[in-house]
Amino acid sequence: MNLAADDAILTADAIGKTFGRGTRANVAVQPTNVSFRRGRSIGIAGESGSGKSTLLRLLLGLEAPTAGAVRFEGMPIASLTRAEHRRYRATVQAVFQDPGGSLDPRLHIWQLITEPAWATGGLTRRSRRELAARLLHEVDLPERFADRLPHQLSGGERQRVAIARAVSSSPQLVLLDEPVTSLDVSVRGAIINLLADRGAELTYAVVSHDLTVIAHLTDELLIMYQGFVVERGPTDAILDAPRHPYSQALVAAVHDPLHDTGYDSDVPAGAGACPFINRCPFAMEQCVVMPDPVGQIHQVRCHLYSPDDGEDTTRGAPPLGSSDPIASTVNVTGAHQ
Amino acid sequence: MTASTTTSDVPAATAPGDPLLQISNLSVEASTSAGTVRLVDGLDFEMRRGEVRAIVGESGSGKSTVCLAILRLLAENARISSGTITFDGERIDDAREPALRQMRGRKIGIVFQDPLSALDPVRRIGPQLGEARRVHGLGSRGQVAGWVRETLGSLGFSNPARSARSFPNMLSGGMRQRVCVGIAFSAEPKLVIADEPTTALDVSLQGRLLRLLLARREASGTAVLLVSHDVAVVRAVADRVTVMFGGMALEEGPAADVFAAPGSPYTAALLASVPTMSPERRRARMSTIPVATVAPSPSGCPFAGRCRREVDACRQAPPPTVWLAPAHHVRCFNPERQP
Repeated sequence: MNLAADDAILTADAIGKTFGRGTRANVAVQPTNVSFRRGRSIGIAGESGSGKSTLLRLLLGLEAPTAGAVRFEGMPIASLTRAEHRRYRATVQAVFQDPGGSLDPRLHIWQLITEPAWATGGLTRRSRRELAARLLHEVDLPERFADRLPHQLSGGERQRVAIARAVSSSPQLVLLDEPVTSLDVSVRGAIINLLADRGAELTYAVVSHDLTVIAHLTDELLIMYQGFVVERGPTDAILDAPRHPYSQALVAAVHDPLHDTGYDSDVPAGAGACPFINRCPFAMEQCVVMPDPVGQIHQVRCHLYSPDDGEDTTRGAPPLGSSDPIASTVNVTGAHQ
Repeated sequence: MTASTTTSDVPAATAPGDPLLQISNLSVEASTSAGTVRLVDGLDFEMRRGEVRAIVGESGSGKSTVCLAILRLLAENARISSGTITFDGERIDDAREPALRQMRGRKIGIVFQDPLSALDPVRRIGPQLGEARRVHGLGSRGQVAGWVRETLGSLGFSNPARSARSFPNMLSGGMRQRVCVGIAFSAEPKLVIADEPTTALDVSLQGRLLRLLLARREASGTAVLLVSHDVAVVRAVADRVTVMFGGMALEEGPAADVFAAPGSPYTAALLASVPTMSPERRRARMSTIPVATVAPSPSGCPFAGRCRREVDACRQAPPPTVWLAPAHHVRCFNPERQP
């Protein structure tokens, strides 16, 4: 294995994606660097249209970037040889939001979950059945499910099948696209626990609009808004003290469902401006130009912050006015105990 | 049609014995290829005028079926098999289509989950917003147009005249859903049903929409029936809550009491499984509800097989109603706490 010295499994090198061209060009992802290193799971949060799902598709090679390159073992994935590409497929796997739509309805569960391992070679039919039994056990499903079809399972069971399938080729990096969004609250916890239990051997990229899922599974966090990474840093640092006004709104909404930033404009931002300008309670004259990121470990792209600020400075109104966001979380979810 | 639904006449209307909506022993059944399935099982509840009531439940709980039964918009293979629905003093469970058309939109407004599919993509916003007022004769053409501009302004549109001429695809998801709230309240209804109104929205816009919903209700005295899977949302907005599981209302009471001291083991487990972002619990294992290994008996409690307080009786007979407080009851053989 020819892994880079910094232990990166997959590197996104200034990747960007623009759909269409000329006056109809739509920048889905602004040039972004992300490096997935072993043991550092990364969350990507944002609303629909933020570019988080496009970023995930670029990392999986399902879309070709219009700028930069996704590198596996130092090589752009577009120019991998067949053998390298097979290794990339085995190393980087994905679990999608809708397990009903991502599993072939005509294949039996044992075929579905062993397909990635089988496709990367070296499995007999018998060893495939044995692997299926082991994988079902790993995701807490009974062995008799091996001969069922996807539609005979519940949503939670199908998502376990999708996870079993993703881990069957012993990957290092698993990309999770809204892994529990389509599931009921009562089964979400079990799936998050299952993923967290494997967090020691697997590295995750978790794309979600739900910060609580990201809080449970990731070490680092990127917050995206309309194609831009507006804030990035250690997950705990951002959740405890979000710096960008959009991040502040997202975190506040988790603590208080009635939190209202007071701005929800129907006016689009001008070209080159901060995309949040018309929804931002702190918008200023400078915001017509998107600033560069400020900070090292915890970065933010916002004119409220200057390079001279310390890493821990947080501007703007605290997310919940004067009340303590942590106290109110306990209040929201702690009553049953 | 005058401004009959102002807040001033709400107190008189909320007098005891005058419920806006009364559902008694409602059951809904659907015939499928696998036989008859009971979607709602013996539901009872009342809504007072102006109150915010929530039905909370997971998929398959029957919460959306209850809304469709009230609106009499059940799918063709589903029917009300027993019970009555009385709205504003009239039975609507057996009402005919002309009466129902007068009710839908006029007396009962609706906010659906997905604003994109709820709006007509090829019609401008203004006519869609004013349609119910026009159809139900609430003002002349000019009056309706004026009302539309005024309403768009109060919904937060910076240029109402321009927005009235725009098509739904020109608006953001949050703005579209606010138009839908405007439509639901447009004909001054007595009840607005909101089925997962914020689920399709960015969470940073959820608070704004919920506040809009509450403000409209405050201004008009309209009752709101909120259907949601989101415990945090229900907790923040509802006066009273019904917790449904498998077609049955397992708990019902004032939201503050139900969330502070749940009586049904299902409610307790549901509240415990809500993920949290508090630093000390971020990395902790999540509380889960076990999956049933044996299907519950059709004659017993639907939560049997997943319940940690299960007793033998739970599989043999429908759970009895136990009153924990004068306005708070559960259906359970072995509730979390006694009256």
